Amino acid sequence: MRILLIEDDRMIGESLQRGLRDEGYAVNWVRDGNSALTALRDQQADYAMALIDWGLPKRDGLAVLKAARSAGNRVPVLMVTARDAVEDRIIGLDAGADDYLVKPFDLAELKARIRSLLRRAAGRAESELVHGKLTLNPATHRVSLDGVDASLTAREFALLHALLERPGSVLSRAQLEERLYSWNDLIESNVIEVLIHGVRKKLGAGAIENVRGVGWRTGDLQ
Amino acid sequence: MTSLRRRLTLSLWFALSAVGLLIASLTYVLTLQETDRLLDYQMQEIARFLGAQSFTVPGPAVIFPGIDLNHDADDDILVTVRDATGKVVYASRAEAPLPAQAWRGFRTEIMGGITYRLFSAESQTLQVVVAQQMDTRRETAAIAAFTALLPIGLSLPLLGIIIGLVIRQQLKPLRTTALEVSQRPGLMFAPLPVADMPTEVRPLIDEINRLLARLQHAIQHEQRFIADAAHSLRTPLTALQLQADVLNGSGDATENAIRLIDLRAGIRRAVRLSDHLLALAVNESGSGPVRGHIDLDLAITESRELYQATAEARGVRLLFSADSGAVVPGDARYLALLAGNLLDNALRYTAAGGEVSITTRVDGAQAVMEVIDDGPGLPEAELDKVFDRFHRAPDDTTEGSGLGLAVVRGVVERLGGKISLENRRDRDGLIARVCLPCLTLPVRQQRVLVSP
Repeated sequence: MRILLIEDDRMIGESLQRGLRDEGYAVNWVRDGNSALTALRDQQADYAMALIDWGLPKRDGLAVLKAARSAGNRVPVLMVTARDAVEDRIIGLDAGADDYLVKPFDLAELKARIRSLLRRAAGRAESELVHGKLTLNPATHRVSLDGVDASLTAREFALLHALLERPGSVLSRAQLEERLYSWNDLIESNVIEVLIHGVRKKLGAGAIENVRGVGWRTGDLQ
Repeated sequence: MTSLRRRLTLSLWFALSAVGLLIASLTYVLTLQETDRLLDYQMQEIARFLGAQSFTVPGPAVIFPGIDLNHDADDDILVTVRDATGKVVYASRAEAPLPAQAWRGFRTEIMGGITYRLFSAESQTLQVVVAQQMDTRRETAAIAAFTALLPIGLSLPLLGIIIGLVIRQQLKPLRTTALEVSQRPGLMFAPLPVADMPTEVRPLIDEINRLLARLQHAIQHEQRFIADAAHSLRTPLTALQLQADVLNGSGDATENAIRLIDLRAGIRRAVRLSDHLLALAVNESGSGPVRGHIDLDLAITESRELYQATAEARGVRLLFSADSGAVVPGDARYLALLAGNLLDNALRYTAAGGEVSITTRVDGAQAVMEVIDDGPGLPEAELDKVFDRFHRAPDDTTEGSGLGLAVVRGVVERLGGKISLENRRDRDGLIARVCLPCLTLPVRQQRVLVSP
C-alpha cells in the first residue's frame, strides 16, 4: 500500500513517515503544494490514499485537493489540519476530502482512519480480509490460517495485504515493490522473492502462487 | 458613597431654608413692631374720638366702629373718661374705672397683677385713659406674625420636593447610562451616549469612551494573541505526539535511538515557541517607555558567547565587531532577546561554511546594530511581512516559530527604535538593521576604569 504524505513540517512529516512505514505502508512524502500536485498526477505511483495537510507552502492543501479532484483523481484523501472549526471541516469535506483529522492527533487514530478509508475505497465494510481459510486483519496486524495465528514481519504482512486486496488477481514484481517501498528506499533485486519465501514458510507453499513471467497472486487455500 | 442628587438636594434645601428662616425672623419682628404701632394708633384714635364727645352723666353706650366699649367679658380695650374736675363721666367698666393719670402719652404699667399698655390724653374738657392688656396685644401681634410666616413655612418642604425632582430629572441621562452599562452582556465596549449629557460631565464621558475604546482594542488584541498562540502550538505539539507515538515502533535499536533524538529536537522546538510566546506576551503587556540604559557593545558581546557554540555546530563563522561605544535604552534582558533572536534567525538560514556577522556603530543620534548573514535572503514582498506574528515565508522550511521577528520588533519598538530587513546587494543574504536612540552618557569611560 503506497500512501502519499503531503506535509510541510519536517518533524511531523518524518514521524508520520516512520509510523506509517512501521505499519507496513510505503510512504512518499512531499512538502509543498506544487510537488503534491505533481505527485498526484503521476499515473505510475498508484497511491492507495493521500494524507494532505491543509496549511502548505506555495499552494494550500485545499487547493491541491480541489485541483486533483477536478482533474478526475479519485484517490481517497484524509485531510489533516490545525483548523478545528466546523465550517473548516465542511469546506474540507465539500472540497472532496474523504475524512478529516484535526491536529494534534494520535498516531493510532490516524492509522485506524487510514484503514477505514482504504476499506471503504475497496468497497468493504468489514475490517478483516478473508480468503478461504486465510484471515488478515489490517488493524491488529494478525494473520491466521485455519484459526491459527501466523507471525509475519511487517513487510511480509504488507505483501500479503496487497495480494489479498484483490484475491486472485496477479501483481507484478514492480507493482509489489511500488506498494511496499517508498521513493528513497533501497530495494535489493530479490527482496520480493525473499518476502514471498517467508510468507510461504509460515502459511504453506500454496498461500502464494507464482504466475510465471507475470507475477504473483493468492493461492487457493481451501 | 456620595450621591450627587442627594447632596445637591440637601444643600440647596438647607440654603433655601436658611434664607427662608432669615426672612421669617425678619417678618416676625417687623410684623410685631407693625402690630404694636397699629394697636397704639388704635388706642390714640379711641382716645381722640372719646375726647371729642360730650358725655351726660352717666353717658350712654357709645357705638365706636370696630370697638364695642360695653363689651365686658375679656375686655380688649378699657377706657375711662373724666371731665375737667376729674369726675368719671364714662368708664367701659363702670365698677372699676381706670385711675386718673397725671402724665400724657403711652406707658406700660402693672395694675392688679396684669400688665397693661396705657394711653392717657386730654381734650379741652375731658381726660381720657385707654388701657389694653399686654398679653392680648402680644397674642394679636403673634397671630399676625405667624400668619405672615405661614407661606414661607409651607413653601420650604414644597421647595425641597421640587428641588429634588428637578435635580433627579437633570441627572436622568447619567442614571439611564449607568443602567444601560450595568445591563450590558459580558465585555461590550460600545461608547456611552453623549447626546443628552450635561456639559459638565461630557469630559468625563468622553474620557471613559476613549478608555473603553482602548480596552476594546487591548482585549481584541489579547484574544487574537491567545488564538494565534493556541494555533501555533498545534504544529509542534502534533510533532511531539507523533514523535512519541513512533518512539518504539521500529524493532531496530539504532532507529529507535534516532527517533529519541528527534523527539528531543521536537521538545526544544516546543520550548522555543513557548519562550517566544512568553516574551511576546511580557513585552506587549508592558506599557510606557523602558527604564534604564545599557552599553550596546557589552550586551552584544554577551550574546556572542551564547551563540558561538550553535554557530560552530552548524559550521557557520560568527563575526563580532562591537565597538560603537553606544549607550542605548533598555536592560540586558531586552538586548539579549533582541540580539539572540536575530542571531538565531541568521544562523538558521545560513548554510554550513557561511558567515554571520554582527556589528554596531553610531550614526548621528542613533545606535545601529546590524546582523548580516549570507543565507538566501527574502523576496522583496516578504521583507515587511515576516515581522507579523506567525507569518512564515512561502519557501521557508526551517523550524522557526514564526514569532522570532515579531518578538524582535516588539522589543525594538519598546526601546524607541526601528528595525528593518533588506537583502544584501553584494551577494545573497539578509541584513537585519536595528536603530536605537543613542544616549550620550559617559558609561564607556566608566567601563574602561572598571576593567582596564
